[in-house]
Amino acid sequence: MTKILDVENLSISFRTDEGLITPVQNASFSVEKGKTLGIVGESGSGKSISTKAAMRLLPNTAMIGEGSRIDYYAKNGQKIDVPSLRSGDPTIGRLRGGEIGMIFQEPMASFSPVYTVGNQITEAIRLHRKVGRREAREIAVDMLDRVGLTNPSQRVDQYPHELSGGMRQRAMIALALSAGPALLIADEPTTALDVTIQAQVLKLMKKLQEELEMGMIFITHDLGVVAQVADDVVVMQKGEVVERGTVRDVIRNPQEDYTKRLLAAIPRLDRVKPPAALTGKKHRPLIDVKNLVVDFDVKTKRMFRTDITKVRAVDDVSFTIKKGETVGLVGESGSGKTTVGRAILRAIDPPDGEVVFHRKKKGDIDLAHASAEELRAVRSKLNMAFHERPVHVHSLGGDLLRSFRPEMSLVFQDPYSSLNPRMTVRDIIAEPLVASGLMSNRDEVDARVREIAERCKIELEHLRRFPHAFSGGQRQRICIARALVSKPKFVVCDECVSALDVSIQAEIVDLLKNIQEEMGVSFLFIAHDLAVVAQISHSVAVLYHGKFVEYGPTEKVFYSPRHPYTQALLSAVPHPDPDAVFAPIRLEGGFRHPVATVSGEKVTLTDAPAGFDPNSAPVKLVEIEEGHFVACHYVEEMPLQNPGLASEISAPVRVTGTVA
Amino acid sequence: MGDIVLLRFTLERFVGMVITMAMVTVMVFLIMELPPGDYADRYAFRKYSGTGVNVTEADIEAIRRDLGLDKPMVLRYFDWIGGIVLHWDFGQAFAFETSVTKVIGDKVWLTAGILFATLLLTYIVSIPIGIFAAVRRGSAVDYGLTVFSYLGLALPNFLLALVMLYFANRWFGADIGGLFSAQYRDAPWSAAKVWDMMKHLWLPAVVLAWSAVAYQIQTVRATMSDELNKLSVTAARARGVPETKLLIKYPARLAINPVVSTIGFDVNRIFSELPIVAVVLGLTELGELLLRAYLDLDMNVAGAILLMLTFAIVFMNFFSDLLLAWLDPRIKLGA
Amino acid sequence: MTDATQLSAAEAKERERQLKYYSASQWTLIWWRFRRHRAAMLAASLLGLMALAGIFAEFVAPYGPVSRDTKYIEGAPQIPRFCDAGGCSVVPFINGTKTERDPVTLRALSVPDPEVRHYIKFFVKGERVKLLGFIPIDRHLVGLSPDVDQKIHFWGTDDLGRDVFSRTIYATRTSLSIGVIGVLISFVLALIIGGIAGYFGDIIDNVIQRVTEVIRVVPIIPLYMGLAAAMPKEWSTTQVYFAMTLILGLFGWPTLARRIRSQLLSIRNEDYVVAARLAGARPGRIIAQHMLPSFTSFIIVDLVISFPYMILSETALSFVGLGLRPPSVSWGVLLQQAQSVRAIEQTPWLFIPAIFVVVAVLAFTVIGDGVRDAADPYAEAR
Repeated sequence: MTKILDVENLSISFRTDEGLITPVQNASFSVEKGKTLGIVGESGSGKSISTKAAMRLLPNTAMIGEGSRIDYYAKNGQKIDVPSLRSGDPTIGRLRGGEIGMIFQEPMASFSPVYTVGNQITEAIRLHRKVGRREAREIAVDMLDRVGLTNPSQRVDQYPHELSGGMRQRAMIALALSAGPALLIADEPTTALDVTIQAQVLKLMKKLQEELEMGMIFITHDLGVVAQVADDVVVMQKGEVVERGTVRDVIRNPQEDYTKRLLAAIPRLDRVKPPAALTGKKHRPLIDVKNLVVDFDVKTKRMFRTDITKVRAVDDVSFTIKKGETVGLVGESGSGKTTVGRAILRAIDPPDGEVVFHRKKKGDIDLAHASAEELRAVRSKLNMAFHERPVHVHSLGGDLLRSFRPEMSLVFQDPYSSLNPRMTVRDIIAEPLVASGLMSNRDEVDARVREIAERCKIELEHLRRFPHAFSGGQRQRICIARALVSKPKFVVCDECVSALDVSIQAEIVDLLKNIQEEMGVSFLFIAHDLAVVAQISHSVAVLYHGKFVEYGPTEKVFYSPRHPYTQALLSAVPHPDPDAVFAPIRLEGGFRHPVATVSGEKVTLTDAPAGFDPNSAPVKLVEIEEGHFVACHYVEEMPLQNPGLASEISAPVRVTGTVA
Repeated sequence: MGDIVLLRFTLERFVGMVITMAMVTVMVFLIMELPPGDYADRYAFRKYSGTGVNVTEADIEAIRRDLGLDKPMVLRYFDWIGGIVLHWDFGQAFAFETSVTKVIGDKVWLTAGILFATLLLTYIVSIPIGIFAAVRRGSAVDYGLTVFSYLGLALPNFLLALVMLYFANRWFGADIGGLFSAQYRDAPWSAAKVWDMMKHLWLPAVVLAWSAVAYQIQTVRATMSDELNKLSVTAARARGVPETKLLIKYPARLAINPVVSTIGFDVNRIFSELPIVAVVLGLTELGELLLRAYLDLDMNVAGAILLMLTFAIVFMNFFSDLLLAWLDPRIKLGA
Repeated sequence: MTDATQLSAAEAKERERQLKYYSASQWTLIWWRFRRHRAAMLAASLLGLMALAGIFAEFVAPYGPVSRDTKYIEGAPQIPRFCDAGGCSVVPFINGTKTERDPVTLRALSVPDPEVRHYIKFFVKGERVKLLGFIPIDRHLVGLSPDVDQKIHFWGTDDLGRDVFSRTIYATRTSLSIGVIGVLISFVLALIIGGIAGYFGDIIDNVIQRVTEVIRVVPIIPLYMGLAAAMPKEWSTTQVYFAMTLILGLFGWPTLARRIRSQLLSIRNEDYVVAARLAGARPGRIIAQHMLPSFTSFIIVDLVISFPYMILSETALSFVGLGLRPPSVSWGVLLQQAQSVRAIEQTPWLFIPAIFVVVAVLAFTVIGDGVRDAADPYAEAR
């Protein structure tokens, strides 16, 4: 066992206006050649500061405490006592990049936008290796090839903003490895990436580490990621190392309370039991979304004109949300999940399609096309009208829409920007009541605000305070209280827990579940974290490029997925279990929809046989079992050209179901 | 693709520049029309007052007709602008009894000389100092520079000019004001005259650059501070780029961008201060002429100069847009 | 025992401090932060003093702005002193003056007469003036006893024997008030124009942007000069004064309007504004309750930092003779008398108004910085 980096009793303090703060105290950890150390902790645990000290990357205001030891064993066998190096010592230059490579969370921000990718990689190569300009470029192209970038000899001359997020992080890995470091420090390298891309990057890093026999430090808040990549693990809390050991020991058999709590708070997709689907007649539909389409204009500048092309953000989406149901909406960035939520709430301009809000009695009035007289009658008795008839939310406008607002609300992702810092918590929560004119009596409003605050576990004393008094989790409670104060029937939660630490995430999810039980609200729960969605959703829809690829009861969609994209998405989630199989399916160049054949009562899904023309059969959502829809090339009563072929293809899809 | 975007960008900015210039001509014309009375009144008054000649309303009317001043304003505007575009003719300067073009003459080049000397001085001084202040943030030097730039913004330029002139006179002799020594003032252009002008140019350049330097130090310092905190700088440091090279290649390279984008603003500031500084320093260039023209209500001269100065600013804006596009690959690609 | 109670007392105090912080509104937080900015506090008090002196100029200034002291022409400042050859006194005094002839040029010169002492008095009787233009008073803050046949000139006199100190105080009123009115006019214009641009959007916004651009590219002092030159020569000083404020105000708005517009646009996209819209608030309520409060503190910053431009422009215009005209007094008008190197050498005290200009501009800039730092108390709360 050869140690590369040995850190002991590391303490780091900063001088600030408020005095001395010490984000790292007595931290000890070490990395061995060819092994990966995972450093896990929530925000503010000091996990990335302690590794920066090893590269002498701390700002000038930082002080390393007495008795702290950071020893680095260089490639030539020399032992470097890092804290004792004077600034300006050439050893520091060698250490940075030459001995230790580093990858950061934001792949875009870690490249300078004004130089090409190749420029920045060759810079690193020429700093640490005695090679010429041309040779350095060859090495750079080779590295880009090794990290799996297509057309590396062209990519090398591109600017960072011309690459996609995943490609940028690959290029960053190429950069960090180009000077042949013995240790790679990766600081949340996959946090900003989509889960499928994260899976690829993790695989890549693991592979390169083995090939190059590097040591690696992997800093993350995600125990799932650690379980998949690390050999040893260090758990940090508030600047101190609370537990360390091999990954298996720490995850299987945690000793410290903090680690136990952390592990308990993490939702595990492989263990979660999702709420059972709401079936049967007694669960009435609340909202029917029919053929929802949202287009955005994109301007392309040409020489003498500007072309406006429509980009379809949401493409023909239909689904039903039942009363008291939580529908999860998952998908990667750019899939249109936020747009679906906002379109239903009419936060964006009227989309195409229908959003019908059902009420107790049947009967129908199309508020968009009603005559002026009818409209006036409705307006005078607005609430009554809304109580008795289905409301076509998509066609509401002006005052009608405003007075309908209390029926629906939104919880935002960022609890910092969504609360007006200049209003007291009481006024923030009361706003939906007062603004929509639902209530005007101050005492009545106060009573309602208190009732909701209690329900959301906000101390009544806090109502007088301003948002700056609260932490992220507390703020999110305020947001939820604001969303519920008008007793809406429907709330959209748009990534409402993704900005929070896991322990707080769990609290908020519990809160939402309790509220649903007590108040019978329906949620549209939008998130990219599949495990959280599984915890709370009765049914779930998977969105890809604005289209549903699969939709149905959570237990079906997540535990027997039928669509190749859903399968790939689920396989990419790293479970916090070192023994779990991590075999992400890589969808090279997207995916192909399966083909559905209906013969009699039976629906058969198969991968497309050779020679199948996807254009001949349009994509449709096909119900393969009760309530479970999959996007397929739908071929009714189509006998396969070559029935034998279907079984020969080793495709992920080969399922049969029955038509409901 | 990228080239087309760049070409389109250039074309767009060019058209924008032409539109702005057209609107500027209207505005300048309105200012020329603003003072009570017109050219004919002032011309007659200037020419004949004190000569004992009795000027009647009819005489003035005749002058007016001769010069086409009796036409409606819109037509007069087109006459004026047409003269400029077609014949480089800005009309007559009554106070000098010759054409505006003659009065302005080579003062344009003197003004351009002062402008470029000032701009050069501004950037040579402010960019390195701003970068230095940002790198040494919170140090005594930084505070000193902050105080200096506050003073630079607060000191009225004519006062600065007076003080500088006073000390220049004490240290370098009496003949420091103006743009030329006495023997060259009316001499034809020669190498010796140009050299003489160079020797005089530093004083107005320092005075005019003063506030621009103060302003740009603040800008460069602010952007540089932002850039220094960027992850890309940490990333470059983490791959072992030596500190000095790192500062120049990464944050400093980007800290120049706001300077480039405000070139037009600096020219504006310099032209704005020019007439007043010119009075104190006895410079014989467009700014001083402009002030004299205003005081005499010689609006043809004033209009011509105001137009030239503004066109120069509009052109510099255009130039700085293009320079910025060239400096920043993100703009070029229309990202 | 005592330790424990002390500790809990300290804790209670800390708790109270936190509670106060938690329930502090925007303006309280801004004030707390501004108070920490010592330079800005100092600047604010200086400016406050200046404004007070200007408002009560009739009382503060010993003499009127155009009163002449023919016995003390181009006289040097008379610094009050406590001691002279004849010993010391508790009450400050100045020496008397006598007239001598310069042996070379034979010009009449006023020189101090160490034999005579005039003691400085407060609330002395003097010229009859109307405070704020309507309250008749005859007492002034400081001066010499009316029985003494001599006037006191702290900062000397000009070539007509007018008291520089009194003139500067009166000029402070004029210059500051032009700044205030000018800023207010351009602010109202900027709000209207920026508001129209933001409200109607599209074509109107485009046109306004273009016009704004045109006004912004014309160098501002030459533009002001052109407008000022157009003021008829026969106008009274009051007319000129109002015309000047109008000119400064009418063309000061483009920068302000631009900033207002961009501020509005950035606030409009904040999540909490979207939240208000989804809460069913009408546009009026969204603007009044959610956008304006966020916006006011930034506007105040913009207002404060646009003062220096107004003051410097007025000074520059008056300095070259295109602004206010004598007998009005403003800082620029006073500095007109100090246009040459000769003035620096012979009557440097005529530059004292320049110190006021510099101090006022500096003060506004420093306050602007202080307010800017304080204006967004939530920036670092995350």
